[in-house]
Amino acid sequence: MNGAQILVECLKRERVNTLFCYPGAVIIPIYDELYLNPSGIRLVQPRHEQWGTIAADGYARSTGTPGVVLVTSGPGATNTVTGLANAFLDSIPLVVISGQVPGANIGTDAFQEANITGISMPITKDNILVSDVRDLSYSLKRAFIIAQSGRPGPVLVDIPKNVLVANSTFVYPETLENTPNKLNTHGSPKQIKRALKLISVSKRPLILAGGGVHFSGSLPYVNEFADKYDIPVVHTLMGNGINPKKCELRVTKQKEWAIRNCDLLIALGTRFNDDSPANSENISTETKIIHVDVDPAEIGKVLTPDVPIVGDLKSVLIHFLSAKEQILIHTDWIKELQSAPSCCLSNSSRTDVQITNELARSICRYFDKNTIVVTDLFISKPMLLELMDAISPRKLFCSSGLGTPGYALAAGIGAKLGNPETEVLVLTDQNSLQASMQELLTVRREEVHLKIMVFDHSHFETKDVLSRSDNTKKTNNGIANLSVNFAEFATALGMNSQITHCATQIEDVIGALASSSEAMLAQLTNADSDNQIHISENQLNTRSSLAG
Amino acid sequence: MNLKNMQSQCEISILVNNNPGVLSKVINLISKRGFNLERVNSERLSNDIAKIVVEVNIDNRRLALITKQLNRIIDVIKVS
Repeated sequence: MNGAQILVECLKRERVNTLFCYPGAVIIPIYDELYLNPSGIRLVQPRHEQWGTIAADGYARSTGTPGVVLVTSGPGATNTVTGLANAFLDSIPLVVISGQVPGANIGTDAFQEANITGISMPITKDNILVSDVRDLSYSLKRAFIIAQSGRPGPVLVDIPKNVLVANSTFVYPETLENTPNKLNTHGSPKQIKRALKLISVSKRPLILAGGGVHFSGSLPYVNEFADKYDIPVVHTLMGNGINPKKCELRVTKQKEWAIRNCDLLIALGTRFNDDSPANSENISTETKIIHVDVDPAEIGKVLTPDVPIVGDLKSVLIHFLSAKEQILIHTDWIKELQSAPSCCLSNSSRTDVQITNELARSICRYFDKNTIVVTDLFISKPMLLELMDAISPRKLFCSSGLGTPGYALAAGIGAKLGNPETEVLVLTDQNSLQASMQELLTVRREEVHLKIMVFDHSHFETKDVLSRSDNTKKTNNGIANLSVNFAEFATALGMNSQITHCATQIEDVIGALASSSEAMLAQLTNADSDNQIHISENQLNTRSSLAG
Repeated sequence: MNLKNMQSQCEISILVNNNPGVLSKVINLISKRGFNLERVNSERLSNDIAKIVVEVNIDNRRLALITKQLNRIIDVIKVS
């Protein structure tokens, strides 16, 4: 078999059913082979590799299996960098296969050559340049294992063209003897004992659940743990969906207060992101911390825990659950939590809270419990946490680590392709959608029945970062916010669309989106703002100054 | 003076799989943290294993952090 055939066979063995790919000269042999042997792989071509990689991210987040991307050398590979960084910060399993110029030309600044292994080194869990076709199947198997094991992450495999056309016998290792996964630990029994001791004497304990809960499949165990030991639960943006049987244990609006005032913080699969309520400034020095994570480098990175436990979260929780420690009931603490002040409400403007509440209500009313909501970060993170809790058990995805504008549309495409029977609602705003708008073509071509809601610039006032700078309050500060009539653009593509010139019609718009049986884009505008650009062919003038 | 924050010369010995690019990953990781590499030595111990020795000026807390991050690199076998 030649390299291309080996690659396709490997993908088949890994049960890959969707490939986000963009063609190019050096990967033609792969396209040729896929044409002859489709192998049950659906080829989805984005308009730009960045959004193809982000789509693979949305696919991976929603299915739990790695998103697989195939790009060509040079610009194809470099265009995946943002997607790789995004997946790296959020720990999403991705396998990106990039073509490379033939081995003999590497290092000669050949046409469409880029040192992607060098460029992506800090933002991939591992990457490899396959220089011999005999190493190809091993490298791919290794990539898939590394992407999914321990703490998931993106892996890049760079394959020069000569390897794709060279011949070799096909041997597919089912497992690797010295598995690169060094993180198969179950947590030190001594530390687990110390942790249980701390839990048994704590009067105001709090569980902080992060993305690790989902990656390790520990959701039911966390719920059981909270119920058994009577401990309230707070989650991060990556860790939503925690729902212990005792509803009073779910801390929603009082997250920041809870974290600041607990005496024991049990951090499960989280990294104390500086942009979350569980940042190091919000945690009191008096609080004792138990930190459970499968990645030893995360423990002690931001905060030094009193009890560090390195291990797979599921096995650690099973130990916690089987222990016969005395269990304290924390009624007073739980009561205190329920009447505690809600910090995010006091930090956000009233309209933001109002809109978020209306959005949550509308989504709960019109979209079923399996719906996946994908959003950009035009909604502030505290409001997003609120939204997440309000629409639970529906999932909500966002680019919480990297904060990529335009993430929502592309990830929504991936999520829908991975879950065709599930409704996927994309929440985006003008700036974000302008970044990834060409993927509306992909929505159309792949017949992805996405529901897209576009907000205006002025809908949400509290834009976290920008609002902290005084400069943005002035009008002529160099930031050019343009407004586009996306509904017209969508209509031009043949998509259902509607535009509503009234800020308060959120519920109607969501209702219209839900009742559409095909892809639909609905836009909410506030008023006729200055920087409007009309895209219909009938109106060729652009209003106001583009020079901004 | 806080012992943890005191910087001192430190020799880190890293045992790695002799795969191309692994030296690059190790050096990349150390230098992106802004530490100055005082000395770097690399030798191949066998067909599959190599040893990289670096000397950096570093405090204890960050030494612990960088050791764990070095261990996270797939081809690294042992850090001491």
